[in-house]
Amino acid sequence: MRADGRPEPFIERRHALVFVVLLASGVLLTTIGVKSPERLGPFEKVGMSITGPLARASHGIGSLLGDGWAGFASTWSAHRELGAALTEVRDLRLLLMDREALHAENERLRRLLGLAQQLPMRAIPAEVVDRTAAPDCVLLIDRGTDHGAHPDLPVISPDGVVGKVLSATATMAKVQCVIDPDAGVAVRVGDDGAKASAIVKDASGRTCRLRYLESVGEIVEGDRVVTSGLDQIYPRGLLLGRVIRVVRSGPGQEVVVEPAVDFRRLDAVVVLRPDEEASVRGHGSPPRVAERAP
Amino acid sequence: VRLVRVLSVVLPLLVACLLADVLLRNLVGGGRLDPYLLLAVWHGAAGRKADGMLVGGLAGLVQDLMGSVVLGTHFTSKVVVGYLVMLLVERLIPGQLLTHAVLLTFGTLVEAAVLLGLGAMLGRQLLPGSLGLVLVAVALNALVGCIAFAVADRVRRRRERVFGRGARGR
Repeated sequence: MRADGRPEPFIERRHALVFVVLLASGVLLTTIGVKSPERLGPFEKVGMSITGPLARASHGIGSLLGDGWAGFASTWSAHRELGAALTEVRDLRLLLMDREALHAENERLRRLLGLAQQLPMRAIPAEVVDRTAAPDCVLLIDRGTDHGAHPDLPVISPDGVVGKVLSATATMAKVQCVIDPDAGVAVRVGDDGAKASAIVKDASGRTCRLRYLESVGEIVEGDRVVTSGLDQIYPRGLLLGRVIRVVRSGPGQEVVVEPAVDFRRLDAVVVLRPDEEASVRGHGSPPRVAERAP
Repeated sequence: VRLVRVLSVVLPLLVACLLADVLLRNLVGGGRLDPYLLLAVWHGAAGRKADGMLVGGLAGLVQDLMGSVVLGTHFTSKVVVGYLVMLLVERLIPGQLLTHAVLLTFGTLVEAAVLLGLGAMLGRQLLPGSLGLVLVAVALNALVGCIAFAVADRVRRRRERVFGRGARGR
């Protein structure tokens, strides 16, 4: 009897008997299937006609799921490959940028080295580690007295005069640029320096003015302005900049000079130190160097 | 209630057909997992006294018609599995994960033994593969079956809440 009071059906009451019958049927079916399968042909046909639609449906859904899975796997694989390729592209870009930076630094160092070899002075290469904003224009370089960078030594770059060492510690030095309002550099004007002599002062922004002008020839825009060496700081013949404007007012004239050095992009300089051997040989006055094209 | 009982046989049978087809074609080792066996074991464990062998027989017959070379092998093996699982489950705590694992392992081994015995009796190799592949089948059936039985158990409890205890097998 069941829990609800109803009698158990025969199939449950005699489950062992049913099992034996089913088992015997199965064994008989299998035996016929092995020994003479052609006898099961009609039975199999009826069975197949019933299960055929089921098989077709399951095969169709299976194909759909399989294709979907294959598509998903393919998309996932492509996604991973794309990610790897993008990572590789990013790494290559970084490598390229690194190489470009190295190339630029190499070029800059070559120019500095070439400049240092032209000068009859000892060159102390230095890197600009900091700079102040306008109106003062002061650079901080990574060389100090330990390296020979003492106050009042001239500082140049491949483009031209940068300024002079203002003060120095053992490992750092402060450089006053020529466009600092308090700076002053003795210069000559003209391709051969014969047109005038003056002092570059009164910097304003990125330009300077010529003061104490002793003019011999007519100064025109585009004239080169080079150091004269009269200030006993800068060697003779270093390019400082070019005349960009000449304003004549009565007997006087105002000459505006644009420095050759771009101070905003300056990242390496050379401190020039008098060569002791040259001093011993009697070259006490500031040496003259070949003028360099900007 | 009767409709629910019929559906509880037919729907899993359809799912088993579909699963067998998908597994066979898409997954490595898919042929070792036997969804029809899971059906026989589940009904042997959770159904009424004769459900295991009847549903197992039906599932085995469908399996034979859809993919067996010798008609009747899976019918016989599933009938035996369903019946023996029904006998064994009365000695175990129902609804437990370990019970499910034991029943699935037992069912897979019984099926292999039946196929081996039938093959020996008829002089034909009916058990596909070696002992190693039987162990792989045991592991796959136990793993997938435990998950499927846990889901089916939840569905059955929900069904009992909706239709009352009359929907329950034993």
